[in-house]
Amino acid sequence: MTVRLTDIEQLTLLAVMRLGPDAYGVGIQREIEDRSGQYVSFGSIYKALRRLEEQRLVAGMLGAPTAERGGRRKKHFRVTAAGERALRRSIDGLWAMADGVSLRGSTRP
Amino acid sequence: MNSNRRDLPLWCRGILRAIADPQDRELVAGDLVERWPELAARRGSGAARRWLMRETLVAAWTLGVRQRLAGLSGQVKRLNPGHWRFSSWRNDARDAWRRLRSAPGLATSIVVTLALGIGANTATYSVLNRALLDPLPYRGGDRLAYLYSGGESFYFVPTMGLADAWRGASSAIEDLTTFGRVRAVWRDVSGAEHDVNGARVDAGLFGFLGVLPEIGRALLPSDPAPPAAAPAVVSRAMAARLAGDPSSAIGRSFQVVQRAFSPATNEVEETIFSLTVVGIMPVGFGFPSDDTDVWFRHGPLPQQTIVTVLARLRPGVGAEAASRALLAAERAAGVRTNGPEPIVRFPADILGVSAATALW
Repeated sequence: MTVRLTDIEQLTLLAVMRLGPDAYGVGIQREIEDRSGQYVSFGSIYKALRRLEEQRLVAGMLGAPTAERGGRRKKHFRVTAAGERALRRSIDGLWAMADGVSLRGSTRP
Repeated sequence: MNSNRRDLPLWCRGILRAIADPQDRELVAGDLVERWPELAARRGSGAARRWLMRETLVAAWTLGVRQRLAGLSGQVKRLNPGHWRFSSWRNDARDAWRRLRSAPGLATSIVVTLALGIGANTATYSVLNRALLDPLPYRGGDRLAYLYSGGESFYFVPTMGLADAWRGASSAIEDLTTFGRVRAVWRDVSGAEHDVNGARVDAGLFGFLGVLPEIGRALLPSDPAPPAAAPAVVSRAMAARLAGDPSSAIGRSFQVVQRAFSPATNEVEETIFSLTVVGIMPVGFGFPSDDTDVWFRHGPLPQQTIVTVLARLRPGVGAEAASRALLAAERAAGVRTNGPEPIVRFPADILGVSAATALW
């Protein structure tokens, strides 16, 4: 079955891949904001992560409580092989659509 | 947020309770606590507070309310897929119509209940609008008041002598007019009798109210008064009864029969007089009551004659000040006794619709 990813799911998967073992709520939000300039709320991020987890595109693991979180735990995420495939298809499709299109001001070829 | 305790404000934790999954709740709360100091340092505490509010509400909506609604909608569809539609208003309306048709008894009772409720509300508002909100369609309508004579718990219409004396209270009264209601019958050309409500009025009544006949002329002080043959102004409905086409009623004459019991003779006495239409009032004019159809002059009246007195007070003069001025005028005219005192009332039924009647 072909999985269709939403924009936020794409951004979240990419952020999780970039962050590696540090991929959790705050890190994901900060990464998306810093690199894409888009602000995504925690609610939207966790909703996307829940859906991705249900489709086995990411796997989550609860960490230990920390003082900086007021004694609450983190949940670390990693992208599964299926998640990588889904992301590649999604981005390939996007690039295929963008191929040959000249966008003014773009830094990409 | 208390930076030492590293926890969220109470309101924030309260809102986050809307998140359905406790693990999601813990993760979001932990992220908010962790990111707060960074944002407060970068953007200031005010902006950080706004950020916290926005994040909290979005999380509560996305992971709580919206998820619950989606779950509820799914459950309902599973339970009764043929009857529940959330897709559009039109579907809801169609569904309601089908349900009402399938239960005509229930539908009838709902419609009747709604009709009664809406009708009662409309009637109540109409009375309030007429009595309190809508200014009277007469000149200086908000200053019109009936003048009576009475005490704390009673009042009655005054005599012509008192009305004449009250004209002297010019500091409080701008103008006043006198009239009396007439219940009689009128005879058509075949001799058949029909009930009619009329009023004997001052020739200046229409000028006083600021409403003139739509066709023809108003009454003049030089016009004769019954029982002599006299000119009359009639309502548009009366004009139509007299001539079919109201505009051709001018100049028509009709006979009026007034019957009254006479204690002197112990018999009902008839007064018959002829009226000739000289003016036709516009539709909607009804004074002193909505069903008044004929107006004619009352002649010079004996001082003991009982009349209804309607006055227009001067701007800014209240009922109490007007009563004092009327009392002074009585004394100045030499008609003051130790009896009843003047009473000024701003009636809700100046138009002729009494509030008590209209309520029913």
